[in-house]
Amino acid sequence: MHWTTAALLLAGGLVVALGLNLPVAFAFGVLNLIAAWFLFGSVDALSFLVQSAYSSVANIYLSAIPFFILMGTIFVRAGLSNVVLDSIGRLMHGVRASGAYVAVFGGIVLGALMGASVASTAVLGSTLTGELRKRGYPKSLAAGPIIGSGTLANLIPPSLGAVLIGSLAGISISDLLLAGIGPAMVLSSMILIYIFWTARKHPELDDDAKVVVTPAQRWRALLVLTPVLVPIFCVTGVIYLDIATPTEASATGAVATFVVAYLYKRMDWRTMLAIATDALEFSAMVLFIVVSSKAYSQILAITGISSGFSDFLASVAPSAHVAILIVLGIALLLGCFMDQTSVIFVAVPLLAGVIAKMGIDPVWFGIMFSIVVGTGGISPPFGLNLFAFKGVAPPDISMKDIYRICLPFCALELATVGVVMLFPSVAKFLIN
Amino acid sequence: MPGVADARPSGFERAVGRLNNAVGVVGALILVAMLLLIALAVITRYVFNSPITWSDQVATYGLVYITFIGAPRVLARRGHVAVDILESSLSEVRRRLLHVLVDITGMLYCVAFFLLASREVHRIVQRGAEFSDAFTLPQWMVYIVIPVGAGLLALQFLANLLEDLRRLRNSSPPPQGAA
Repeated sequence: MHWTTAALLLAGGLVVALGLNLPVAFAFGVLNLIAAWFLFGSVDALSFLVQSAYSSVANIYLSAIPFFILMGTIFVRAGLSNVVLDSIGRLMHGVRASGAYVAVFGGIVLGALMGASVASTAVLGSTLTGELRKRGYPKSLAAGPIIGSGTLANLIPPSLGAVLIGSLAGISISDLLLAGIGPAMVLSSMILIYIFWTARKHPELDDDAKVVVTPAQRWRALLVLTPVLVPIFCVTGVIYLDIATPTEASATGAVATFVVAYLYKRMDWRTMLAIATDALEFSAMVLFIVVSSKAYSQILAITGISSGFSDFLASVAPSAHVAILIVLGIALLLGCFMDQTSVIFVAVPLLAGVIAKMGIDPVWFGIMFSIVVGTGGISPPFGLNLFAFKGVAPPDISMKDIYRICLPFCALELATVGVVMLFPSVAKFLIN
Repeated sequence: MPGVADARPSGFERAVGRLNNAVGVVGALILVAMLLLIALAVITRYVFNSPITWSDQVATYGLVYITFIGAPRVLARRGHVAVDILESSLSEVRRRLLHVLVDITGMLYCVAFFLLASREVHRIVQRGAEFSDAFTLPQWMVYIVIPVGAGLLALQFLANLLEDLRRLRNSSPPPQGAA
């Protein structure tokens, strides 16, 4: 069978299985089972699927995923996210459309403590959007900056995407984590400019003069924010200084977050157990997709799709940049219909092939890929972040509103990719 | 799911849900233990300069465990990510019909995977295969969690199927058309 036929069958099967609303992990699983049966034709050979299920998650690097998730869960469930957003709100008070800026700076801090943009978006949305609507913000400003800034969690370490992409494509996870910081700064600056631009047309968004925030209160707000720097240092600082592996950094980060959270708010055993089970559920959900999408990507390799595709790309693309753009385009398209973990597993084999064939800098390509995968999270019709946002937003913001509001932010994400593509040092300046 | 007053869930459904929730709590404890182990290893390595040699190996097995005993709990909460483009455009009855179809497919897949994984574990036991890294461990001790997880998932799909069938029966005259 030619690889294009196999590719059509596997892609078609995936579309059908996903379209039928089968949970992603099981859609891959069913397809793997059928494909492996046709490929090998014996029950004995199907044990490959069990071996793959084991080896997909028996990987010490992937331990960073539950630890990063645990870190974010502690941060949110202990109420620290409210403290952070409240303090930032106080610091920003008096600026026109301050609430929208809080979303961006909050998104940065949340991004430095949480590894999943879905979770960060949900926290920002539930804390801010309702309040902003009450304060008279138009939907575009009450929802847009949150949808946009939520994706910063994908880029700023900790980042689940970087761990997955790195471990799957064999790129240094530490480097990929650090490479996200520059693009995150570019993206957040662009969102800030977007807010400034939009807010010019809304003079009514000046903050209430009756609410006075004294300089002393601002200093206090700053003081309240400082302990949060400890877990941030434990992850990003430790990785930057090359003191520990990403897995070790994720563990120390989670422990540090727990200590800080405990100092803010003593937790009882019940809360701690709830945090652990919440983190377990989210981790198991992600890791279970890893289990079955890993086998899918192995089947892509066995059938020759991965190498066929990268050969084909290398032969038609006039330059490495074009090849990169094609792979990124595919990842973006997949991201409109699938969750980020699945996109990573389906598209990384293509990416790895192209990197090897064309001698492209893996960290540079990896981080652009990571941004695009994040963009998929806020792209209609099936950006997971959009649904997470809808779940926490006030009911007057409809899915149709969200589809309209997210588009400028998708454009800003792609502009960030463009900046990184033209100036690789934006991503690489922190890596020694 | 809006709380339509369905007939009460059967004892089987509740028992499976409770079992998978409890197994999930065990998974949560394993997760916390992994975290403490790796954090401790960092401290002993960088502060006391005497590394725990076996921490990575244990944490790796822990990861396999939490994946497979956590997934049934996620399914009990119907928390696995799915693409609901088609589903959201269907009428109430068809949507419930689709849920039934998903439950059956998922259950068949998990039963198949359970059989495959059990077969593999059986072979591993017969071969007497061992992991040997920082310490040696019979491989079946880790692999066993795969058929266990698949079996629990199959049970949970069955419980979900029973629930969805009940919903389907109750919705024959479509109750509310709320979008």
